[in-house]
Amino acid sequence: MSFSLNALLNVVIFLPIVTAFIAWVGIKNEQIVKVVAFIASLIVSVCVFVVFVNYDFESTLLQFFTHTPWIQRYNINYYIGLDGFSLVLIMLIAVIAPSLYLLLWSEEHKKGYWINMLLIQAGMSGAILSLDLILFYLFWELMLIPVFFMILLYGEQDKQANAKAVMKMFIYTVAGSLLMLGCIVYIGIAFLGEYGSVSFEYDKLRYITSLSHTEGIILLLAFLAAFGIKLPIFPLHTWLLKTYNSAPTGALVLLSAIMAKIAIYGIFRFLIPILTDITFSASYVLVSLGVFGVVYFALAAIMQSNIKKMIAYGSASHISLIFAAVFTLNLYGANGAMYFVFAHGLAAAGLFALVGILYHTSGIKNIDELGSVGHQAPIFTVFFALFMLSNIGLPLTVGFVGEFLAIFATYTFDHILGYIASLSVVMGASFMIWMFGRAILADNTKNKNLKIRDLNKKEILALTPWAVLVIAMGVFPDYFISMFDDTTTSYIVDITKASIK
Amino acid sequence: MLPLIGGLSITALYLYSLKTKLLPDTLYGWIGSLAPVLSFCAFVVAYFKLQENDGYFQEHLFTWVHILDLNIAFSLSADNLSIFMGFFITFVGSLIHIYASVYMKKDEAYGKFFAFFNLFLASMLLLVFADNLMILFLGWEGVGLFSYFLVAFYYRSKENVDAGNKAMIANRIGDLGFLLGIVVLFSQVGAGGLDFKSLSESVDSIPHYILVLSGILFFVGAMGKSAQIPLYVWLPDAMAGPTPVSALIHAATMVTAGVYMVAKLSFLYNEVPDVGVFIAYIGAFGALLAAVMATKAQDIKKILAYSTMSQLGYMFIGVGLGMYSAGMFHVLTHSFFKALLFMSAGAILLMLHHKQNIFDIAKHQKHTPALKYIFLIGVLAISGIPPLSGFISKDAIIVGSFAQEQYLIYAIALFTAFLTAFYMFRIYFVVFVAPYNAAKESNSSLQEYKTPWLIIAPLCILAFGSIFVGFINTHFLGTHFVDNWLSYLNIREGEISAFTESILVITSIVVALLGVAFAYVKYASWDINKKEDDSCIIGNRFYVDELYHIAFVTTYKNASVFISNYVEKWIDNVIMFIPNVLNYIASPSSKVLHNANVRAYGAFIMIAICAIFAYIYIKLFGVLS
Repeated sequence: MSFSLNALLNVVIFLPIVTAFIAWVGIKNEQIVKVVAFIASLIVSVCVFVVFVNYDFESTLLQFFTHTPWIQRYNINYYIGLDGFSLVLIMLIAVIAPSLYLLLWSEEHKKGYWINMLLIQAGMSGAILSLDLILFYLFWELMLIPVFFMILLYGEQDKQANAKAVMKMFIYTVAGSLLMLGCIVYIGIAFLGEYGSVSFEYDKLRYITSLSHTEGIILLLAFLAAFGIKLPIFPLHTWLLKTYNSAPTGALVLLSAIMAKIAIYGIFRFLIPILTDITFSASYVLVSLGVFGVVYFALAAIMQSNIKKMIAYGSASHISLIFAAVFTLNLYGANGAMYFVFAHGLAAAGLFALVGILYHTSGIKNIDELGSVGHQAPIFTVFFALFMLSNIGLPLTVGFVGEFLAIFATYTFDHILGYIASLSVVMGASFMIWMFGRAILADNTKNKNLKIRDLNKKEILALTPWAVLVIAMGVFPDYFISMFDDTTTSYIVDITKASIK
Repeated sequence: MLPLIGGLSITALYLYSLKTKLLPDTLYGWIGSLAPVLSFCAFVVAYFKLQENDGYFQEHLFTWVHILDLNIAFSLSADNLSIFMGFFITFVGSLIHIYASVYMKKDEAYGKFFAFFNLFLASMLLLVFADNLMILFLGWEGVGLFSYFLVAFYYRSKENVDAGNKAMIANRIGDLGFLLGIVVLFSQVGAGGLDFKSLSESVDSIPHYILVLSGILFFVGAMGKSAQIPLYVWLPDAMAGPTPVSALIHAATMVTAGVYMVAKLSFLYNEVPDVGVFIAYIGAFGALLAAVMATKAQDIKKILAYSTMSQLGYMFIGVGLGMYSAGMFHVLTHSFFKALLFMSAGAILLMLHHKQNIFDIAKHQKHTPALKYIFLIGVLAISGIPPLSGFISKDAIIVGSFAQEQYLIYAIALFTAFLTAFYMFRIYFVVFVAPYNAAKESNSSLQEYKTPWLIIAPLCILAFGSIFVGFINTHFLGTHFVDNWLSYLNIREGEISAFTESILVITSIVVALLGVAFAYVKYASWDINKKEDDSCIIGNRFYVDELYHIAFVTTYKNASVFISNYVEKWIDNVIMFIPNVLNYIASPSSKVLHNANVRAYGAFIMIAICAIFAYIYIKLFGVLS
């Protein structure tokens, strides 16, 4: 591992920020902003791929880390690095971001839109890579603020509704973040009490033993609230619908495809290792909560008349399944959750992006008013069908592997919960297929003259990598699982050991 | 062995990518039809290789998933059973492809049709040659998916899409059962592996209740795919697809997947005979129910769909009672005569511009002489009139159930045989025999229509097969070929004397002939202009669809509306209660409250953040100093 390679991760985080700044200050022409943003995201992706190629899949240690003192007084460090968990997520960003920019190319022209997109991307990469809790918190907040702006400025509804949606999201997420900050500081202080020095590095904090049971439960709840709001899990989800409905496509794709997954990542990275005992004793409740969410959201989804809301609920249902898989705390669950994270990221990104295009061309979100898309836009329909099928977990797409492993893990954890979780297979399929039939295939009975344009070349080019991955990861899952299998294996061994102590 | 499936999928994908109409339609037809023909040839080769290889061979492609004990290889294998199944799938499949290449002519989505068709066949072959349950499941789902696409092929009409949805969701419920079956079974065998060979070896060590549970769960999968009670409702509606689809999917291949699966898991079902009997009963009642519904249906394709379901019931009686070879043999003969029936019906429909009501078709009887005899062969075969194939295979099952002392099943099966003869000859008599005064309508355009030879030729081959394929399992050709080929699966053979057997055989024949006679009396001189009244309970399919709709769909929807209208709001209000209260405190004047919502919240949050930071700072500082 040479120095230059380690530096790459910093490029991944800071290049978008720098680009955004330059674009903000220096470039007036919107067309050039677009080009610059796209190139920046491409460079980031290339960096990530270089890291990926040089990544040692056999090793379970952190790789490519940078460790620089930052606020020395409190021993807060700029500490970033990569292991199997973060690799999956950073790859997800690398795959999704450039394509997303390309997809938005023909629809979005505002300069601020692109700048905010870059900032969100930077925040997400930072949160994924940081190993210091304070740093993590910083990036966690950084990625939210541009989202607020985007919804407020470029939201898809009228101003009043956008503002309302933002407000709601703001209250929820900020409340969650503050809880998390409180926890972080509390843990840091507890660490100080035990070892005589402050640290916020996760690999040190995990050795903390002085937390009492009550403290542990409170911390767990607070962390869960923070991550649970972002996911979202039941009952912390009510901000989701308004936000998703208002959010412009770019923000929406990033929100659902990546940001929600960072909460899963946070649970893996920080919550479970630090609060291992409590997590183990609470796991049954948590898995049940996830499984309940699976059924609840799927139920809520079917009668939604707004296509974005329906997909949002469907997505929440799947995320609940991921959540359940995470807290089974076995290897099937860990691998399944990570696979599902990627799978869901691709499918959600694809679906929301396509729905965004549909909305832009037709101005309609109501399922009953859509229709006749199939024969007017065949290429659109093929992509839509593919992402939908992956979303409902059809074999030989990536979604199936994730869903199967998650259900399998839940069944291994508890048989009854496994049966309930598997309902996702039927319920998820039923509303998606029903929606697909009404909104895409069947002839439009209400607006007979609705014209839908098909995808243009840029959009096809953008969606192709996602589509290829959806198939490839469904056909050869073992090849992809082996990339993070060693990390998850040693991770599960570690936390199991820790819980026995 | 391998190139065949690989080649098939690649061909199909290739076709799909060319959807943009760069190539003439005929090319799709050629490539599309060639693929199954080639794979059929590959089968013949595989058959001979299998005999050299001691009846089993395996091809490991790559590891699909490997996590701890969960080690699933993507590998294919062939044994007698799968070769048997693959043989007629590719054979009948090839014929249907050739037929379809003419039938679908002039359709705007010709290339797409063949892409789906080929992919469907590829999934079916994957299912048949899967080496473990997981891979079987992949094919299983693929089959379901492509049947969805093909049923909803004319997707612009809402009814077709709904039919597709119904097929997909009913299948999905079955798949859920199947998936759970895999999970349950795996949680027991663990590292033993899910491939059929090691499963059959470790089956002794699995607790009995797990076997029962997984056996039932797998059968739930079969209920979905093979249209058994209670998941059969999709099959009649699935006739919305083009007729070749009905012939290929809903007659010859997909619906038999459930039977195949039960036979493939014979080692499991042999351990739990009670589940087998349960399967047989479900099959018997399904056969009866479908036959009853068929007697009143008027859409020719729906009658055939019911007859498919009814015949599937027979197959399940066969495999459920451990008479695997008899069950599979019926699968074989059924695939011949049912494909024949569907395709000749399709040829008639093609001529008549897709009028599907038998009483409407009857008005054109003068123009359809060539197909009359071909259709008659199919009708005779399915009705179990000796010496056609249907008689031989069906009778084996009926006699077998008697021999195993399952008299109720025997009685149901026998009565269903009567009904089968009745409703099949109902079609025949109404369409081809009943007198009709043609003067009322003149259809000059129809007279010029000649059925193309590419439609006739496959029909003739199938007709030939429907007559003679039964003999490969009889004394006449000396060998009882199918029984021997699949003998390793059978465990239970009821012993009955030759005398009893011949009495039973004669009973079956008499019953079938009685059915024909009833149909003759009632329909041979039916006045075509009067449609039969179908408003009775049978004509309405016993209101099962409506019942399901109320019980499941409406409940589901109501629950959903309840959640989104009430529960969601309630949760939201509870959570937003705190900020609302704070907001109220922060801005006492309601006017300000309304206008400055955002700012009030913002201010509050800023204050809160500052307070918390101050607290943290003091605390931290206090600790440090």
